[in-house]
Amino acid sequence: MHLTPETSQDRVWHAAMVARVLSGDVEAYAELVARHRDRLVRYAVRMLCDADEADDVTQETFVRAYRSLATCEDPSRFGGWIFSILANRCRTAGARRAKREAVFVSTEVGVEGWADRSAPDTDVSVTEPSTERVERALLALNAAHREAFLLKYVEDMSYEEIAVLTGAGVSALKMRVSRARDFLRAALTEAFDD
Amino acid sequence: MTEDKNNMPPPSVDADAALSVSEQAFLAALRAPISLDSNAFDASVMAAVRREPAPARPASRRRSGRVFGIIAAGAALAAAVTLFVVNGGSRLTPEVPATSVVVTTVTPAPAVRTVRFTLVASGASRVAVAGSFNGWNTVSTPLRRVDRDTWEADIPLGAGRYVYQFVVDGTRWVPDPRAPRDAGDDFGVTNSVVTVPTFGSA
Repeated sequence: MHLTPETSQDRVWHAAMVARVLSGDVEAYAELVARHRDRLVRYAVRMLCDADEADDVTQETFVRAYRSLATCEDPSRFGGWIFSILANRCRTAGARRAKREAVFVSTEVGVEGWADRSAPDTDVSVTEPSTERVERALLALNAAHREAFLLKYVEDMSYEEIAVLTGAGVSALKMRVSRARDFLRAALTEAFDD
Repeated sequence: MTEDKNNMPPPSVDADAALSVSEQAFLAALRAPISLDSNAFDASVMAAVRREPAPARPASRRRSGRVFGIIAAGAALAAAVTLFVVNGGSRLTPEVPATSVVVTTVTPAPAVRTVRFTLVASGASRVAVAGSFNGWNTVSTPLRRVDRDTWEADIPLGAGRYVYQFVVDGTRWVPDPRAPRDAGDDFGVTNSVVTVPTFGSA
């Protein structure tokens, strides 16, 4: 699994850094943290819609990855490996929170209209939604749908890669993404109308 | 597409349909960097990392051969063995109940036990097990084929509770229907649980 197009230079660098850590150079791990921190935090924030919880989960992911570093089969692809750990931790955190709060937002919104009202592809005047609106729309999504949508459209992963990461089949993932897009279109219609 | 169980109407948007301008604006917001005190974050992570022991090299798979015990399914280690059949290469169904877990001592570290994971998956070309014991790596712990349909892996594990799933042909995650489920994970993915008792308690 890869998250971004990896150059051979990237792979060599990651392999070297992991080797340094495994040989006892703990401080080399800071460079891996710095390299991957922003992307992992972003995914956790988008997935959990809670900055503090995302911060905790991402830090925990880095520590767990350090503990398990020797089991990283392909150190040159450290990025994909640690992302899979984070995705799993986000699922667990999300499930625990759902049980704790037993609250699920289900927004009744009309599906019709957004596509018709959206600007044509040549129109660049569409207003970027605010962070609050983005989080509100994401929170209203079913968690599994949110995960599939983020992995596909924010992390730019293929359905095959997402299948490996989540354990779901490709057809089920496509359905989740379709549902997510349906729901977001409707939710964003309301957001733009606010 | 078999996921919908609530008689929901089919989605109006194809998963691969081109994104509208409004969707692209939404995605641009999602892709924006998160405001973060990176120095504080890195310092916190590294402080925790420095408190950790050095990452352990994979434990030796050489064993003394002494069979420590065979624990029946339903006991503490019942999660570690599962039997499945791959039907037509696309659908997995449980066929035969779990049978046993073999736990052996491992030298020179007596606190480590070897847990045998067994999977029957006809039609599979490769099987691995991924879990909390290997950082959810989908390739680092392959099962070896012991007959036409049966796959096994002996994994040294220290005492503790582990969650795991099998990975068939690199893409299909298979939880263990005979094993306890991870109570904290009902997020569409169901992990199985294996608990390795402390040395001398089995």
